[in-house]
Amino acid sequence: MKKLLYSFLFASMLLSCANQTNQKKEDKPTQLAALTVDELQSKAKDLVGKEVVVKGTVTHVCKEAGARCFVMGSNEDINIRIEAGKIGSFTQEQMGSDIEVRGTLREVQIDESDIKEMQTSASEGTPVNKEHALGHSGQAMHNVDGGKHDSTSQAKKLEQMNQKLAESKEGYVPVYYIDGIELVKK
Amino acid sequence: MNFRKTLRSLHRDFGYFVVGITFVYVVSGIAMNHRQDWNPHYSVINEEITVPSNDQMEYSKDEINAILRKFVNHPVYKKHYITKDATVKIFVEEGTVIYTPLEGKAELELLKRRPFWFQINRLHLAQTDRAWIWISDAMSIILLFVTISGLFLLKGKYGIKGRGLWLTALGIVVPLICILFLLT
Repeated sequence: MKKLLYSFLFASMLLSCANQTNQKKEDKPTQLAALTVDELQSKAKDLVGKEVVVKGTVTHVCKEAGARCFVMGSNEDINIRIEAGKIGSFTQEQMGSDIEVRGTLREVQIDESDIKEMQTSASEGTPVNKEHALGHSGQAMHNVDGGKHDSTSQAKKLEQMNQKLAESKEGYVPVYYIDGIELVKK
Repeated sequence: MNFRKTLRSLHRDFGYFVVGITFVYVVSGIAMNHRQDWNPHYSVINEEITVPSNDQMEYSKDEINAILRKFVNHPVYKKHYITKDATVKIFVEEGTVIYTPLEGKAELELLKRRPFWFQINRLHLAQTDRAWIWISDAMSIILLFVTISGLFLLKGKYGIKGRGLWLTALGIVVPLICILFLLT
């Protein structure tokens, strides 16, 4: 009995140490003004690497484990991907809800070779959606995971991506996403 | 105090303690290993209905609700918008409806949480409160202790100097082969 007591004492010490560390590392509360997706996308270039708060309607949640979601602005073309990160995960129940998320804005640069790779894989019937640059559509998993009706627009999105690349002075298409820190409003 | 006797007691007590978390990780691990064959978190319900086709480009909440009422699964309205492709995307509780007025069809997709699986998968993926991350870390350390202490419990030909060594080596070699040959 004594040994059992020592064993669990050791276990609870481990847990309490862990909790103390957790409290010290609490994220500071946000003071940032919430931007709409439209506002964020228009200012995105200057906000890369910075903390932002964005608000919008959830149009898609990753059906596998809720690791990411897409939030829409004034129309379906204006949206942003949010990686759950420290938030943990998003749930399907959040689809269609207005949320507010604090996170760090990141940029992915999609160049000609990336687009070619996506076009080749799409033509081979094994679509690749590099860095989710094409939004949430076009994944082969959809017959299992649901969402199969979304895959039709992938070819159109690749076409748009090519057009953006042709107009780009930098030689790449920037795709922005947010590394989630906190779900300010569920 | 005899070292092996103490180790045995600790191994036994901690072993009892980690039965629950081992169960969570193992069962959800198997479930998620096969995620290409099924969705371990949600069950997917699909339903398609036909409605009179039209070329209307705006819909009120009442009009959308009238369409939703035709589904057997009774989806509950949340929000809707019209896409550029002239379809109406309707968000409902636990899913979506894609309504194509020109074709006169509406497709419902409901994603319902799989009871038990949804919860244990979330624990496995640490998609919970931060406290669980620390709790599972601590329990994983205990699990590691149980594993390592188990190596030294027996003496003789069935212990780590005999059969135990070979079986332990085999258990290490299997994932090692996968890393070397399947992941490179």
